[in-house]
This record gives sequence, structure tokens and C-alpha cells, in this order.
Amino acid sequence: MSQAPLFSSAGELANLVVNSNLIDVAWANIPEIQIDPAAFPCSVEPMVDYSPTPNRTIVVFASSPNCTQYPLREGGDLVQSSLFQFLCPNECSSVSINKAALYLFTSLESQLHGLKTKLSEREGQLIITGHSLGGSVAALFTLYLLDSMDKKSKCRPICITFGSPLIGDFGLQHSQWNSFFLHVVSNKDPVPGLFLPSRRSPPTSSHSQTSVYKPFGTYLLCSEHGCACFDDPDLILKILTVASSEVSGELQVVDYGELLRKLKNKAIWKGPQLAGERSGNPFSDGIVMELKTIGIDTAKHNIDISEMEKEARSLTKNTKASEAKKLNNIKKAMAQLEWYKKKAEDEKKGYYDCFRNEEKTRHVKVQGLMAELTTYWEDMVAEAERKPQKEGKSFRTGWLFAGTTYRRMVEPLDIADFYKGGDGRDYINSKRSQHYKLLEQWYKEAAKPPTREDLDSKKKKVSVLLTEDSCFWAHVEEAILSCQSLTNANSTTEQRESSWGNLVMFGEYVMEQIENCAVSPEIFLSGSSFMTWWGEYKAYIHNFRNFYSSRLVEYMKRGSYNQYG
Amino acid sequence: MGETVGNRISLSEEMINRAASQAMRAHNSGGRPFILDKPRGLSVAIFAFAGSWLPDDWFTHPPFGETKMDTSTFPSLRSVGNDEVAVVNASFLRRFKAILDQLSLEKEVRKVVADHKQVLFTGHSWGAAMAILATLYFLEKGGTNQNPPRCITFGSPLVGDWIFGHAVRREKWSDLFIHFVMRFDIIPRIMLCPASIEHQQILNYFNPRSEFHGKPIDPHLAFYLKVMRSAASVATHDACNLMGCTNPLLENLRNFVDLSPYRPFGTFIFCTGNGKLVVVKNPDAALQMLFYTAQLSQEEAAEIAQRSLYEHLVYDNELQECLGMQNVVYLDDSLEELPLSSDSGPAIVNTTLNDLGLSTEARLCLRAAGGLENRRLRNQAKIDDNKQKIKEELSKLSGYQEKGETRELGYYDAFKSQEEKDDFDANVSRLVLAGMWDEIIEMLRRSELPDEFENREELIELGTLYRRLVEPLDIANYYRNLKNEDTGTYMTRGRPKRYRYAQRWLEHAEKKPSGWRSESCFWAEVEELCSIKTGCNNGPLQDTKKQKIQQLQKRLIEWIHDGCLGKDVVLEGSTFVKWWKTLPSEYRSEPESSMIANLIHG
Repeated sequence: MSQAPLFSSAGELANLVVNSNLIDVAWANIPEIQIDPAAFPCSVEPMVDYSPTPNRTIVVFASSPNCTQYPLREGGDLVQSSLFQFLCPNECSSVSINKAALYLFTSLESQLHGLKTKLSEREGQLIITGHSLGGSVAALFTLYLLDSMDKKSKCRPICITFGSPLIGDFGLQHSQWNSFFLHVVSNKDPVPGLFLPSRRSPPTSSHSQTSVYKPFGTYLLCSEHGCACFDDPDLILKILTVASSEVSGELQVVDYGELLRKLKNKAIWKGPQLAGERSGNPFSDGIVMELKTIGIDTAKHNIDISEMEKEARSLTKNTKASEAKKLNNIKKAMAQLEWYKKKAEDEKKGYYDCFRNEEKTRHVKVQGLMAELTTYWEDMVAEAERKPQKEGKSFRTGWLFAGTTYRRMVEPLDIADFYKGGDGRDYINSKRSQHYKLLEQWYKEAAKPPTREDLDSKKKKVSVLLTEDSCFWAHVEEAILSCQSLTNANSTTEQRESSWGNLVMFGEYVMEQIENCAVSPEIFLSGSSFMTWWGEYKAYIHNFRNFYSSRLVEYMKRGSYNQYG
Repeated sequence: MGETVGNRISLSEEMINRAASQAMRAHNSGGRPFILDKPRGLSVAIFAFAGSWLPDDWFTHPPFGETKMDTSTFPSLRSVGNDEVAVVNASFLRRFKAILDQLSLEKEVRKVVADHKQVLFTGHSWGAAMAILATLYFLEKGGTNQNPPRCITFGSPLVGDWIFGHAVRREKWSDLFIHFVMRFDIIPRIMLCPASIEHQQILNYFNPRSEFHGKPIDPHLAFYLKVMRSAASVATHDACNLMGCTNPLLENLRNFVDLSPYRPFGTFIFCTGNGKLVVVKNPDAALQMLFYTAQLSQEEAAEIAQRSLYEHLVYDNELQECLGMQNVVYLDDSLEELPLSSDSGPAIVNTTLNDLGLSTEARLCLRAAGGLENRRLRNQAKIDDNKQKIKEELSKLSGYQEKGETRELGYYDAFKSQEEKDDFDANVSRLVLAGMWDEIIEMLRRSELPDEFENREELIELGTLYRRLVEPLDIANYYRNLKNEDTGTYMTRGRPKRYRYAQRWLEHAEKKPSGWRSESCFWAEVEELCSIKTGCNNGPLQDTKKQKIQQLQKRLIEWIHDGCLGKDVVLEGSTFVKWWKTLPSEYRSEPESSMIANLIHG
């Protein structure tokens, strides 16, 4: 089957945007505040209009006219900011933001904090806008606001900037908040490309830093002849670079109002009927046309369309339908493992030990299932990891339940593999995969403390539950090793002491698990490693520490476990 | 020159011309809602609806005056699986129902049908909207032994939303509707624009009783620009979707841009104004045509605005000329291969596209519309390829079902126990099937399948078979894992969409009310009833429980009798029988109780 034809909708989306009143409204609300230029080189001030029309709020970050000029000349440095740490998926990564924009934002912080609280309670449309550096601050404020809004909020924000310089690095990039940002940029405006290393301007001291700027959100790129919307950061960078190298050196102020009026007219007037041969490929024909209207010649500026096409195709492929199918494959693999587990219980060994002592062929088959499941869940965890903290959390709550079942089902098998050869030591600290750690951590964050009733209902169904602590068997293996070290004639006194200490702790740990109904009754099957351990431990106590007892020892000696589950 | 239009749409040119003149004549019907014409020599009866220029008859409320379709009168006008009701212009619906209430329409139609004449509804402008609703009304009522009614409209405003058109296409009624549209006519575009002062101006221009009748609208361009601006928003928005736009901004924009819900449906025939006709059936392409063919060019702006009014009134003459010339392009035949530049591709297609002033951008949009439809067809073909696989898995499971009977507990309980290899294999089959059906459902939700998809008998049968055979296993799995304790009942929280959709398909095909075909949920009801404790005395809970139990017994007998529920439910060891035997006598009623007892022992 041949591939479906692909289209580029950059022009259509741009027409939809300019044809709506949205950006006119935003632009019309941006005044220039006149501030004594001597008092301060540049200033930005938020102004809020709570109901220009019902159900709509507009926040404008007005900037003084000299904003465009003074701080930008040398304000291109990127600095790290703890204020925007929430954009990062974890503590290790960081986000860097343009120094000038961050400075302005920080100077307004207390005021903006109050504004944020007020706005997050509002309903309806919220337009946040600004020109040049005002736009940068508007974008920062929008990020700040989005972090404090939850999914149920009835407030629908959009941030529209006009001719704003780039705001930050890759840290701003991996946000699914991209849909909230629209940056309007004219090909005549030098400001947006100001921090890019261009061929003409000699490298400044901060050159190495400035090259890491990355656009985020959608760019509405305009020329007098038309406009197009793009959201691919690399393409946008390329276009901005081309544009900034072609505008004249002087900083001229672009009249976005006038430009938008022209474009708005164009959107409903008849477009050209182009003559001449086309490639017949609607994607490349379309995008060449769209780029041309914004002043980019694909041949001259060396833009690789086939690469763009490949990327667009990969984006359209990941449909929801294929995701549903993938999820079902995973369920299938889990069902197969469950069946394997059930067979293992029938053999009186238990799931863990069955796999640990498995003959070759069946072992390979189970490993195939494990690999399939692990790949899937590693991907899911990695995807959740790439999202900003809050959003990552809501992304994963949907599947955390399934992820936990997976962890409880598959990690014991990894542990079995690890200790099987006999040289495995300390799985938890030396071998445990990161994605298990994260799944466990997230589960603990999301779990509510159990109530009395929970425990009662758990008691009833403990036979169908999985052992909650997916590292349970690693603890058992370590306990067996400790037993061996105690009876080993070569062990030093210190080694014996520490082994004994470990065993005491292990005993308490197991008893706690039993009392919370957190282990599966299969651990008491006669052929299980746990029972092997108990045999060795019992013998050791009998021989060497006859006076010793603990709650677990009592429990096991009495045979109370026969009533468990 | 190829096929004539008449042949293509199965209506003679004579009939079309006759309809056009009747539709114009109906404006002077003297207050009657329609005029009836039975031309000699033609086996047809033409019902032509009168027009109206009163603003209230066009828009009840701003911005777009829409309302949910009345599903008791028009039960088909909704999406089946997704279960969304179509949206229709509220004024049109209200006025049409008023016409129905006068009864003369039904009476006359019945007479004509008795005479074995073809019923043809027609109308111009507002009358066209009435003709459309009348046609749908009689299609909904329609018997199978008569020719379906036909509908020809001239300069019709848009009547319903996307689901409206989807439903018409699903029922395979789309070809029965022919809409003639003059290239610049403003009325077919007017519903794309929110109600406004410009609307009033336009209606006044046409209204013979208005003081502004026929007078130039001032300012002369504003009303046209206003309509075109809104048309552009709808067209570009839909074009983004046609082109598979992945930019997340698009979704957020919907919060800020008011878009008209109305969309075209049926067969559109555009008159170029120089004697040519362009036929388009693809509804997305028709929408793009509505916008792009009427785009302004700088030089002719004022003239075009004038023409947009004038052209609304010349259908009869224009058509006479066009139908005589038979210079026709059928756009759907080559939508995806449309030439993008003004001087390539087949000459006849290209001259016509040039005549209509279609820019390269417009042609890309039309191609995208064709591309999307072809993709839908390919998706459907892919699903058809999977059917064999679905059938194989189903036959495995029906083998499992038969075997379950020999185990004396039925396959529901066998599956729930998960004791044997067979149970495990059944579980794998269940999951394989779930994967294939979920993919279909997801495609339906995203309208990635052809409109007719849900109306295909084979699918409905397969879906029903699947639902009856496999849903009990999903229920067993749900209650085996005690999901009811932490998630909620199966019916409210656990029932997968694939079963809900399949049930709605069958109910729609059988014209049964929602909930009628819930036999596959039998076990879920049993499980829920089992879990209510019988101990406490006559509380209100007990009363509803009693009712539910008696109801269930009644339906059980019906279902087993109809063969849509297997006899395995009454095997001795089944959850149902065990539970039923513990029921105190006050929960049983006769004769159902002894019938069930007979089933168990018979």
C-alpha cells in the first residue's frame, strides 16, 4: 500500500489565526507607556482589563519604547532560574532564561504573584500579550500561571507575543503547554532573531551561550505577502536566522497593526493561481509556497523539505488507534505471565522460584514477555519523565495502577535472574533499574494511607493479590546469603555480626508485610526460596541461638502461615 | 463530454428545470406553505416550498441559532456509536414542524405515493431548507416498497452540522439530495456567519415587503466581506483538519474563535456563471468550494458583492442554459489528483477550475478533502482484512463456550475460575479481539472511517456476535479481579466502549430504543444483584432489588427464547443458578419462576 499523501497546513492555520479577531484584540490592547527614559533603561508593566467583553480577560505587559533597544544589545545572556524550576521534569535538569526578560519578571514578582492568584480563579478566555520584551515577560508570566492552574480550571489562556526576542533554552521546549503560545513575528523585525548567532554580527562575549536559544510554541511568521504557522523549533530557528540576516542593520520598529490588517485582508481575497510545473507532491508544493510567502526561498536558503516531510509523517503516524493496540498487546503479555504464575503455584514452588530454576525453553519464552513489557514501560516512564513536574504527574496517574501491577509482576523475575548464577549481591543498590524505582516512588506519592476497612477487604482477597513490595525476593535472597555467611567457617566475627543484624531486620520486615497482608501466600509454598531460607534459619537458631525468638520465628514455628490468605 | 448530469444524478433535465421554475413560483404561493405540481407526461409530483425573508425564520438566537435535532421525529439524525445528536437550525426545524402540524403535507404525499408517482421536494432559498427537512421526514418514515423521495434545492442555506450530514450519508440518503449553487450566491454561505446586522440587510434586500427591497446595500462591500470572513474561518479550520494538522495551537484556538456549526451535505452542483456545471459530493470539498469559489479579487470586488445578491434569483434561467450545454465536470472522480497549477492536468478540468477562480491554495484544500476520504476507505479496507482474524478468534471462543457446558458450570464461571489451560487461551483470545475492536472504535471516534461504516450489515452482525460471546468474559474478568470494589459497578465504570458501540449499532439497525439489547450484560446484573445483601428488611433498597430481580427473570426468559443468550447460564453450577436457588420466594414471580426452573432442569 502506498503512503497516504501528506499536506502542510502551515498556511491554513495562519489564515485561521489572522482571520479571527484574536490577534487584533491582543494588538489593539498594547499601548506604549511613556516612562522617563533616564529613570530606568527599560520597564514593563502589567495592565489588566477584566471584562472588555463578557467572558474575556486581557492582560497586557506594556513596555516602554526603549525596551526594544537598550537591554537587548547586551541582554542576550542566558541565566539559570530557580523560579522556573517547575518546568523541569526533575531536580537534575535546569532551565535557562534570557537575562533581560528574567530580570524584568523578577522585579515584578510580588505583583505578579497576586495577579496569578486572581487570574487562576477566573473563567473564560484569558489573553496574555505584550510587544517585544513585554511579550517575553508575558510568556514567562503565562508559564508561571499555567503551573498553578489545574486541568479542571475553566480559564482558557492564550499568550500572544509580538516581535519578542527568544526567551530561553531547551528547558522551555519539552512542554505540552506549547498550545498556549503564539508568537507573531514579521520578517522585517530584527528583534526576534537578535540573540541568534548570525553571519554578520561579530560574536559577542556571550556568543557560546546565546547559541542554545530554542523557540517554543507556535510562530506566526509574516511578511507583506502572507503568513504561515510553524511549531518545529529547528525550522523556526532557521527562518529567524535567515530573516535576521536579511533585515537592515538598523533597529526599525515594525508596525504589527498595519501588517495584520493587510494579512487579514489577504486571507479572504483570491490567492494566486500559480502556473508552471509542480512536483505533484502536495506536501512539498504546499510548503514551498508557504515559505515563499514569508520570504524564504527553500533552494537558496538550503532548507531540506524531504526531512520536514519525514518528520511530519512520523508525527501523523502515532495515532490514538495505534496506541490502543499497543496497550492491548501489553495486556496480552501480562495475561500470559499471569498464566505462567498460576502454573507455577500448581507446582508448589511459586512464581519466583519456578522462574529461578526454570528449564531453558520455557525460560526463554518468559524472558521474551518480560522484554516486551519492560520496553513498553521504560518508554512510558521516560515519556512521563520528559514532562514538566505537574503535567507528568497527571499523565502517569492514568496508568500508574497498570504500571504497579507490572512492577510487582516482572521485577521479581529480574531479581531471580540476578541471583540465579550465585554471584549476585545487593540487587537493590547495584542492579535495580531506574524505571522500577520511579514507578515505586510515584506509586508511593499517589497512594493514600490504608484505613482499617482497606485492611479487612485486603484480608479477604489476599490470595489474588501480588506481593506489594516488588523487591521482596531481593530481601529474601539477601537473607539467605546472610544465613550462609553465619554458618560459613571462613566468615569473620564482624561479618557474622552484620549478617545477624540483617537477619533480625529481615524478620521484622517480613512480619510487618504479613500483618499488612502485603505478601502473596505463595511465599509459603513448600518449594519457595522463602521457605528454604526459613529452613536454614530455623536450623541455625536451633543449633546456635536456641534462646532467640522473634515474632516471625513464633509465627513460623506455630505454623500460623497455614491460615494466611 | 461524457455522462449527462441527469444520468449521473438519476433525474431528467426536464424534471430539474421544472423543479427550478416551481421553486421560484412557490414564492408567490399566496400564503400556502407549498405548492403541488403534477406535470403531465412526467411520473412525478413536485412539492415546492414557499420562501420567507423574516429574520426570525432564519435565526432564533445569536450567534448561530442552532439546536439539537428532534430525535423523536428524526431518529436517524445522530451518530450511532459516538451517540451524538445532530445539530440543526432551530428556526428551520420549528417552522417545518408547524407545516407538518397542518397535516396537508402528509395527506398529499400519501395520495401521490398511492398513485405510484415519484415524490420530489424542492425549494428555493428558505424554501429549500423546508424541502430538505420534508425529504428527511419522509425518508425516516419511509416504507421499503416505494421509491425514496428526492430533493432538489436552489440556493439553499446550510441546514445542519457535520453529524447531520454524517447521518444522512450513513443512511445512504446523500445521493437523494441535489443542491444547485450559483458561484457567488450569498445565501448558501450565509449560515457560516453569525447573526448580525448584515444578515438583516441581506434579507431585507430580498424581501419584497421591505422598504429596502432591491436597493443597494450600504456600504456596498461590508456585508459580503462579513460573510466571507466567517466562511474563511470555517473553511481554513476544516482545511487544517483535512490536512492532518498536528500543531496543538489548533485545538486551543477553538476556545477563542466562534465557528459556525453548519456544514454542507448531499450533492452540490456549482454553476460557474458561464454555462458550466461542477458536481461535488465530498462534503469537505463542497465546503471549501463554497468559500474559495466566491473569493474576491481586488478589481471586481464591488461587482462581485452585487452579483452575490443578484445570482440568488436567477436559478431557473441559468439552469436552463447550463443543462442545455451539458458542460459538466465531476470533481469527485479526480479530487486527489486535481492539478495544482493553472496550466497542467486535463484541459477541461483545469479550464473549469480557472473559471471558478480556484487558487493553488484552494486546489490543495480540495486535494486534501479527497485525500482524507481515500484514507478513510483504506482504513475500512484494512479492517475488512482483519475480519477473517476476528472470525477465527470468535470461533475459538465459541468452541470454548461449548466445552464449558460439558464442565457443568458454563463458560462464564469456567472463565472466572481460570483453572485450566482453555481458560487462559480464552483470555488471550479475549485480549486479541479487544485490541482489534478498540482500534476500530478509536477510528470511529476520530472519524477516520467512511460515514457508511456503521451501517454495514456485516459489521453489525459481527459486532453482535462478538458482544454476546465475549462481553461475558470481560464481565467475568472484572468481577474476578474484584474491580467492582475499588472502581465501581461494571455497567457504570467498567463497560468498554467496544460493547457500548456494538450494542448501539444493533439497536439502531433494529430501530429499538437505547438499552433494548443489553443481553450481553446479563452477568453484570447478576453479579451486582448477588452483591446486595438480602438480609435487611423491606428497606427501599430491597424494593428496588425485588423489582430488578423480577425484571431480570422476565428478560432472561425472553433472551433465551430469542436465542441471544446461551443456555449455559442455566447450567447447574453457574453463578446465576446458585444465586437464583437461594432467592427467597417473595423475589420470584410466576410464571417466570417455574419457567426458569424448567430451563434449569430441562
